[in-house]
Amino acid sequence: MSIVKLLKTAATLGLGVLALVFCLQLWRAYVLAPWTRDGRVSAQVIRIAPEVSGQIDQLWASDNQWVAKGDPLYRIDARAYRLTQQQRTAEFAEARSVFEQRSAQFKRRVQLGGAIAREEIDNAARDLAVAQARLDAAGSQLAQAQLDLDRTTIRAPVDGYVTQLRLQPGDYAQAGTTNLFVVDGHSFWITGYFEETKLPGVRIGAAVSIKLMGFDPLLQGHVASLGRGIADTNELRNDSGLPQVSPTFSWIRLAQRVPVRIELDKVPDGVELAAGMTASVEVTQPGGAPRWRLTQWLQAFM
Amino acid sequence: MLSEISIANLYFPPLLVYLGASVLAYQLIERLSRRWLDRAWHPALARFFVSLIVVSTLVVHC
Repeated sequence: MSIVKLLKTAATLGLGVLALVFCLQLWRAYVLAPWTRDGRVSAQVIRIAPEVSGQIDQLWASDNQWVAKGDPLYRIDARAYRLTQQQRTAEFAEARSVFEQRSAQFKRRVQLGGAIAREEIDNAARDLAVAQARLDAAGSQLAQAQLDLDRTTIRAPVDGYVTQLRLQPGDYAQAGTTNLFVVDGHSFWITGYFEETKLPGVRIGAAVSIKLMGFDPLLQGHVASLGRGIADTNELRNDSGLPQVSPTFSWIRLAQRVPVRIELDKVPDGVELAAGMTASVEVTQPGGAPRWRLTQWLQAFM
Repeated sequence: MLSEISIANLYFPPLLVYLGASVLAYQLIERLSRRWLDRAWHPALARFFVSLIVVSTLVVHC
């Protein structure tokens, strides 16, 4: 083999090694880098249930309306609760009157001292204690009636958006039954579902870029936490109590996806968040060179 | 990765966009270095390696 032919072979193989090195970089950038197209906007939804029952007579909230914390949402017919409060007020006044009477009686007995039997003083003291207990009970019942009356007006517990409003004046609100939902306006975060093979690149606190499907500007955030558990379908049991273990192709292994919570640091103006929106998420690697400029450039012109 | 190209709500993966750009870049490079590639021990294999390098370089650095 001549030296020229040897050089030609070496040059071709050298080119092959170079190609292999580049392909490894490509693999790291495209396959192993922590990014996912499977991100979702999430938010806390507060389920609001009245603590007293009754017919709704006023509805101030409307669907998808912004409400501030403490704003009234709807009111339950308060007439019955007002009557109860009046009754409790009267009972409280009666108990107080009895208490004052027993108190005066006890003082008189004590002042009489040795002129009356010791038993009468003891009985007066006992009557006073009973009157005190009844006064306390009446006070509690009055406070409870006042509380129930206050609870006929349902207020927003957080700043947020009323969602899926299906209430009308005239509907019957059952105590403890959820009938209104408010999406907490300050609670939006992103849940990125990362394949487990990409988790080594996901560090707590790492900066994250988020691209919503419907909005062009990038959102900035950081990794807040990693989900510490997903359901294992093999754990399901049949009626006999035996686990239903699925058969697998041993030569194809699908990576599980683990939810990663990403807190938003900066939401550009004009971007409106709604829970459930689709997002692409990329965790920034320390010292990583900017990538995907070609697609960014193309996207800017399309 | 975050800059997906959508045409009529059809989202193209970024790699597809880079493959398209690589074809153009490769044709240019192949035309410029045809004389050298033809002299390689295995011209077709050398061209394949060059195409891989072009794709990888574009994806990783552009």
